Order: sequence, then structure tokens, then C-alpha cells
Amino acid sequence: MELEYMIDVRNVSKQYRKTLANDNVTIGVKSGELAMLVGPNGAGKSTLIKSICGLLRFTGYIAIDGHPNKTKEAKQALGYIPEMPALYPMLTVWEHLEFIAKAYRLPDTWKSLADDLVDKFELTDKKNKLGKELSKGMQQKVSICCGLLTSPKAIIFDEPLIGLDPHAIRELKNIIIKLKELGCAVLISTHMIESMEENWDVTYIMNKGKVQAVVRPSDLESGDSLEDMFFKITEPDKKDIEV
Amino acid sequence: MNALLYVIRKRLKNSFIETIHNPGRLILSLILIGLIGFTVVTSAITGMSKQSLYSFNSMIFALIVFALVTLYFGIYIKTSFASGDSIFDMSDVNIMFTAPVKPQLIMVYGVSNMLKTAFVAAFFILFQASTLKDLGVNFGGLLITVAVFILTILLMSILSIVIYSNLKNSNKRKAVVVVISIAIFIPAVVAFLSNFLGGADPLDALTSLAKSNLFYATPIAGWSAGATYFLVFKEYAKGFIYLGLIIACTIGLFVFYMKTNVDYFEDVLVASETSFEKKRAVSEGNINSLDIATTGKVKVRGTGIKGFGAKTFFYKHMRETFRANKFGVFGVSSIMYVAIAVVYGFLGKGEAGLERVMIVTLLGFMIFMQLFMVGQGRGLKELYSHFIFMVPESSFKKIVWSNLEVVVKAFGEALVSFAIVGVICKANIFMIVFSIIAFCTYTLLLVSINYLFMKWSGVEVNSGLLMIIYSLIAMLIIAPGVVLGFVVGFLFSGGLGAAFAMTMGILVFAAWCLVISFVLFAMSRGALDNSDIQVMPSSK
Repeated sequence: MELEYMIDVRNVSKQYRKTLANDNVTIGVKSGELAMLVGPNGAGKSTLIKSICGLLRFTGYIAIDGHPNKTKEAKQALGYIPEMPALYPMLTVWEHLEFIAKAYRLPDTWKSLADDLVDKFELTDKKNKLGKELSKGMQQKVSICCGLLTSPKAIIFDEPLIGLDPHAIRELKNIIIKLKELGCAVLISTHMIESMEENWDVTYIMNKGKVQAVVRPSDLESGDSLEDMFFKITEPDKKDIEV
Repeated sequence: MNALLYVIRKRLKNSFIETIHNPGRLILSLILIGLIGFTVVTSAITGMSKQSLYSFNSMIFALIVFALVTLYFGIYIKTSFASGDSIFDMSDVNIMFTAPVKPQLIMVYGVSNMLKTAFVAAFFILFQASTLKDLGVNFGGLLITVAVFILTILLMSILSIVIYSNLKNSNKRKAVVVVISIAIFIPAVVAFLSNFLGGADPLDALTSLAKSNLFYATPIAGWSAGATYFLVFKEYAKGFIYLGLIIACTIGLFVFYMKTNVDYFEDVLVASETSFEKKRAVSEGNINSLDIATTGKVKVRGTGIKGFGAKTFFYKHMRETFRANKFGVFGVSSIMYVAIAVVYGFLGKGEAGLERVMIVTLLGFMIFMQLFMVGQGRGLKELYSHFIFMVPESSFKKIVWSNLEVVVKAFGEALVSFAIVGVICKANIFMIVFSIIAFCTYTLLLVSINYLFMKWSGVEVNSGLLMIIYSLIAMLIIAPGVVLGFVVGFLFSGGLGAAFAMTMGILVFAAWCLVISFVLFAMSRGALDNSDIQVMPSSK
């Protein structure tokens, strides 16, 4: 039977003490699809992403490539680039990639892919630099390389463009398009609504822990942008502030 | 000035309100106050050891005060070398530095923040009421000790700002401060060495030192010890002289500071921004950023990571550990254990049977300290990063390999410490070997308790109240092992000798820890799949 969604999230709820961060959320991302998760601060986007990645406990059902998200098969299929690059200060850039390659038991060919990624993100001369010696933008680039090295079937980016320089932003956008073409399911959480405007297939607009709307490009009325749609849904009563 | 007082008042008030609204913090505070009250009251109403001036125990008291103040002296000198990030928050930099307030007053406000540490240390002294009672310090003496200590901390705080404001990032000036800070202790050290090399026991050499005026002449640490010691033991004339020295020096430094033209804003700015970024990163889950502050310039020599799958975590930890520290797994705790081992070694020398007592005492001390040290391992820190959750290996394997580093460290520390005691006081080799094994299996047990705790509660042990609960649980779990060890030791003590009996007792304790740790590890299977990624509690 063919899999409908590579990233399959059904009725997921997550409660932090008194706060219901995710309330019965259902989303799905197909292979070769680019999905955006947008919403104001505190909407529950990062919580949902962390739940999908198996970093939080939750109620409901999450599967990656048809396997429950905490199984080895699901983990092997999933890549994750967190908002805050969590590098090890005492490992070099190359050792980060080596660590991922060995922990994920990648075949020896990982080195050529790693070289390619390092080159694309202009990190070649920084291969032997320690994590603690890198600027935040550089750390983000290494974090992206680590997430892509395993050639995942599904990949999740949490605010990927923050801290990147224009060259890296362009490279990342190209890579995302390439991943999509190769059949990878891509889920991007972002505040920058316009950042992926030309390439998205589906956008989930979250607010107050719930998915308020599922928008496809065909749903936009002519002349309307995703941003207009976003504000209509998240701030229905507010009018434009006149300056 | 009013603005500064307002901020200080509001900070205190809000911190109090936060404590009331945070059940964990409230319970912890109440437990602490209750324990201190209990200790102080029981020490006040029970009989006490009568000690005369210059008796052995009273000299120990003077030495303890000297050592405590010396420790804080080192901390304050180090603070004065820091770039201001330990004195000011980013909010202070953004709001205070741009406000029309004199820089000297802002610095005084910064120091008032640091005084919190003085109160923490004063609490620590109150906790020691029953111990101090054995050294001849009654309830009144306890209050004198705390009062003089707080005054000394105030002096050191002002000294640290004076140094800080006048360093102006100059390495030459820093070197001068280091030399002076060490030089003031040289007379006392020389006096101790001449006693020790003259054939005296280390402890006798120390107590003889504490009887000499040279000891009390040591600036700050000696004055504080002198003021405390002589006032407690009613030698008021001497006591007030040393107290006067502390007060005069405090006032003198304060006046000097207020009259100097200080410009420290630029230095503080960069350091506070860096510190703020680091705290933010930690609160957002990147606990590894803490390492950045604790290590200086690192030379990358050997590179590469061995292993496959879950094993990679162990090899990665070893690579990080050896890169961060030339001595590998040996750190501050190792130095402390070795220092204690040397002392115990000398104390156990000579009298037959005393060496066994010293080995068991050292094992007990290390077991107690390991409760707090085990959390320093990279395995538990790994829980703050997403990699350990996402690597496609079994949760159990990842936990085991990720925590092997802390067991290797325990083995290294136990090997060196027990070997030192053993060599100095010529202890039984089997007793040494089994003590090393016992310490390692006990460490394994603590790690297993942590993961089981995490599986059940969903959180790692990282805050005060949890730490108390964790410690109590750990003590309850090891208690049967200790009792069993004593029982077996007692059973064997008949014909086979005390050394054999104690060795068997330690072996039984080690076996208990090993078996229970396996049981707990088995029970904590899937802990990573049943808990949330850990987040450092952000507090200031």
C-alpha cells in the first residue's frame, strides 16, 4: 500500500503543566512536498516540531515513513535542523559530520557528500575549526550539513534562515528545492512568511496551539499573498495601523 | 541613587514572590530554613565541648576559618579578573549604563549583587553549627563567625571592584595582582613548611602555625581568622585589633574607590553581551555553550571519532574530554580526591588498623561527593541536545555508551586516590582494589538511578529540590548494600582478621551496587523515548 504522508501527524496534543501547547493537531507532508508551518510567537510550532522529532512526549500519533516516530526506522528516515544550532564546542566541523556519519552507520561514501555540503556552505577552510570558534551563522551552516548528511526521506527545519548570510540563504533555498525534487518531504517552520513563497505546496497556519488553516497555493485569491491570508486568520479583528 | 535602591528593592521583592509562587523552590527554601533552624537550636541546647584558647580543637577552628576565607579570596580575585559579566546583567548594561548615575554607584550596585554569595556561605556556616560546637564554638560564637565572615566578604567584594576598575585589561597589572595575592600567603606557608620539614606531623605543623602571630598577620584570611578566633575564645583585645584591621581596610578601599575616576563600561559591555548570549543559548537547550566559558584556547592536534552506532557517543565524549582538558578525565574533583587521599594517607600512617579506617572513610567521602559530581558527566549533558534522541539506535545502548565516560572518570579517580592512601599507609592490596571497584559500581548505580528517575518523571535531575529527592532515593537504595557490607564484615571478623572482614564488606557493597544498577538500567529501558529533551532552568 502506498504511503499517503511521509510525515504523518494525527491528533497530537502536548501539555506543559497548565499550558496546552499543541491542541489536537493534525498535519501531513507527502514525499516531494514542501510544507510550511507558520504562526505567531507562542503558536506551538516549535513544540510540534520537537514532538515530531521525538524530543518531547505527546499524546496522539506521529509517523515518519510509515513508522511511529520513536522507532529506529523513523529516526533513520528523519533529519532535523533546530532553530538554535546545538554544536559541540570541542569538536571540529569535520568531526561533527564524522560523528553523525558513524552514529547513523552511514556507508563510507558519506565523505564525498560531506565534502560537497562543506563546499556548498563555504566551510572548507573551517573544517578543522572547533564548534566554539564558529560564529552563530557558521554554526547554523554546520547544523544544516549535519541534518542533510544522512540523506533523510523527511527533513524538518526550524527557522532555518535566521543567522545565515545571503549566500547561505540562497544555497539553502536551492538545496530545499533539490530535496523536494528528489522526493524528500520537507517541513519548514518559519516566521518569514515570504521566504519560501514561490516553492511551497502547503502551509499550515497555527495559532494558540491549533492548526487554524491549511492553505494551498490554489486557495489564494488573485492578488492575495500568503502573508495577507496569514493576517486574516491570525488577526481577524485588527485593522492596519495608520502611520 | 534612588533608582539603584529601587532596583535592588524590587529584585529582592520579586525574587521573594517568585519563591512563594514556585512550589519546588518554596519547599526547598523551607527545608533549608528548617534544617538550619534545627541545627542551630540543637547545637544551642545540647552540651558542648569546652575548649580553651590554643587547644588543639580550637586551632582547627582557626584553620577552618582561614581556609574558607582563602577560598573566597581566590574566587574574588578571579572575579576581579573577569570582564564584568559576573557583576552585571545585560539588563544592567542596557539600562543602568545609559542612565545618568555615577559609574562608582553603579559598581556598588553590581557588588551588592555579588553579596548574595556571602549569604549563601553564611548559611553554610550555620549548617556546621554542630561540628563547630565540637571545636568549642557556642551559639554566640557561631553568630560572631557569621558576622565576621560577612564583613570579610564585603571587604573582598570592594577589593575586587578596586582591582577590576584599575586593571584596564592590562596583563602586566593582572600579573602584579596575582603575585601580590600569592605573596601575602608566603610567610604562613614558609612557617608551615619549616614546622613540617622539622619533623612535625602535617596536622601538628598546621596547628603550630595557627598559634603563631605570622598566621594572623596574613592580610584578609589571617585577619578574619584572628578576629573570629580571638572574639569567640574571649581574647577580646586581639580580636578587636584584627576586626579593626578588616573594618579600616574596607573603609579605606571604599573611599579610595569613590575618589578614583573609573571607566569600565566598555570592558563590561562585550563580556556581558557574550554572557547573555551564552545564557540564552543554554535556556534554549544548547547546554554545550557552557563549555565555551570553561575552556581557554584549545589546540587541535589529533582528530577523528571512532565507533559506530551508539558507541560513537563514548568516543565522541573521550575526544571532547581530552581536547578540553590536557589531563583527560581528571578535573577539579580529582584534585580534591587526591588532596583528601594524601591527608587520609598521613592520618592513617603508623598505628596498625588505622589505614583500614582511612580507606573506608575515603570511600565514604568519595561516595558522598559523587552524588553531586556524577551530574558533571557528558552523558547527562547529552540529554540537552537533540542528537542522542534522534540517532537511530536503541535507547538502552545510547544510555550505556553515553555514560561510560563518567565510569571511566570514576575509575581513574578511584585508582589514583586509593593507590595514594594505600601506598602512604601500606594498606592491604585487596582492600584497595575492591574499594576502586566499589566506587565504580556505585557511580554506575547513580547513573542508573538518574535514568530511571528520568523515565518516571520525564525530567533529568537538575534543580535543587529534585537533587534533594534524588539524593534521598540514592541513599535509600545504597543503604541495604551498606548494611549488608557491615553484616558480612562482622561475620568474617571472627577468625580471619579485620582486614579480610572489611575487604569482604566492601566487596559485598560493590556487588550490591552492580546488581542493583543492572536492575535499574533494565527498568529504565526506553527512558529516552519516554522523556522530553531537557532544558536548563533559566535563573539569575
